[in-house]
Order: sequence, then structure tokens, then C-alpha cells
Amino acid sequence: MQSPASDVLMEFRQGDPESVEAAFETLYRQHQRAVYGWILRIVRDPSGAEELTVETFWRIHKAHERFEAARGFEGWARRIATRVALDWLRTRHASSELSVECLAELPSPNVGDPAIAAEIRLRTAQAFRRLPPALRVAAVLAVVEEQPHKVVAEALGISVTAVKVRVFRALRLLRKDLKRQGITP
Amino acid sequence: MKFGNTRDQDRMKEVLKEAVPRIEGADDGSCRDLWPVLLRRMEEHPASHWPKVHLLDLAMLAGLAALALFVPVSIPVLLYYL
Repeated sequence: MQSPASDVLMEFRQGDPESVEAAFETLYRQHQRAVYGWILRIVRDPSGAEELTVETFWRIHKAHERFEAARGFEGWARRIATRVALDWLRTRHASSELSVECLAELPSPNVGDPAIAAEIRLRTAQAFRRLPPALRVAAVLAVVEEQPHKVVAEALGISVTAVKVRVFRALRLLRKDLKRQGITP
Repeated sequence: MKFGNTRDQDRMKEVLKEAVPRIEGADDGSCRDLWPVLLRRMEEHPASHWPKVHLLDLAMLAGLAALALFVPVSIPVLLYYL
């Protein structure tokens, strides 16, 4: 016997147009927060995350015929959301800069002079934003947000080893960038 | 699987976490209902009922049509391979 949840997924996949719309709204209501939260973790901008949540569900709706119910909705949605967020980061890569106002909201670390610590954090955050988006997304999800490597790998459509390589490269580039600025972490 | 100097990597992870803090409760955070925005988007860009045809497929079809037009002897060969 199929559960109501899998009925919704089947209708979304291959129902008649009205059933697809109804199933899509149900899935949207169930997963909106999770998708928004996932995107927010990547782009770190609430209004951008809202815009990208709409874009993600629009793409999900367009691609409903390609959805494989057996593989579950959550992972599929997360993968589309990650691609949408990555595209957004790529277009904003050069223009995005972290402001001093943003820094004021960050929690203070327990190191020496607060002014120096704040300066180091600001430079680190700015250097992080200069990283290639593909590396930045892997690092922010795996290191900052502490998501399991397997989940990150599925979301990015790469292997767990590839995630580890991206995180390693991101941290190495970050270290080099900070060293160039005279900061030795 | 380990990469490079683990101590350096761990230190960099700490530095990064201090500079870019974790977003707490991202899944439970307030997000306004975006359904009306999504509906508007779907109305503005309705899904096409025509099957999607890849550009490469179109180019190949055009090439075959041109071949049949300018080299009619190729038609039986093309039909044979269909």
C-alpha cells in the first residue's frame, strides 16, 4: 500500500494537469522552509534567498516530468536549489563585498584586541567572498554549516571525495589570500 | 581521506567559522509565504506543451535535409540507416 506522501509524489510526477498543480502546491507547502533555509545557508542573504526559492520551485515545476519519485523529493529539490544558488553567486561574484555593517552583526571571537580581531574577521570574510563560487559553496556547507559531506555531495552532484577536495582547495586559497595581506592565521 | 597539513586545515576551518558564522535555525527561520509570487511567475511563464527539441537535433535534421536535397542519391542510404 502506498502512503499519502508517495501518492503526492506520483501525482506530481505523472498526474493530469490539475493533480500536478495540487500535488505541487502540497510539496511547496511541505518543503518551502527547508529549501529557503538551504539556499540561505549558501547565499547568506535573506531577500536573495526568497527570490531564489521562487526560482527553485519554478524550475521544479517545469521539470516535474523528470522527477523520480523513488529517489525522494527533498534531495532533488536541494540539488536544484544548490544549482540555482550557485548560478546566483556566479553572477554576483565580482560585485559582492562584505560591508562593515555586516561585520558588526557577527559574534566576537575570544582573541586579544577586539579591533584587530574584527579587522581579521572582516578580511577573512572578504577573502572568502573572493573564492570561486564552486569552492565557496562546498566550504560554506561543509565547514561553516557543518552539513554531512554526503549531503553536500548529493546537493552539488559530485562525489564525497570531490567535496573534500573542494573544501581543501578553498581553505588553501583562503590561507594564501590572507598571507598576501600579511595575515598569518 | 586526508589532504595536506591537517593542523593548518583545522586552523583555517576555525578562522573561517569565526569570520563567517553559521546561520542558526535556517530551516525554522521566518520566510514569508512565497506561493503568490510563485503563482504569478508560473502565469507569466507557463510551461510549454510542445516537447522540447534540442538545438543539436534540429541542426542534424537540417543537415540531413540539405544532404537529401543536394545529393538525392543519398536518400536510399539514409532510408536504409533509419
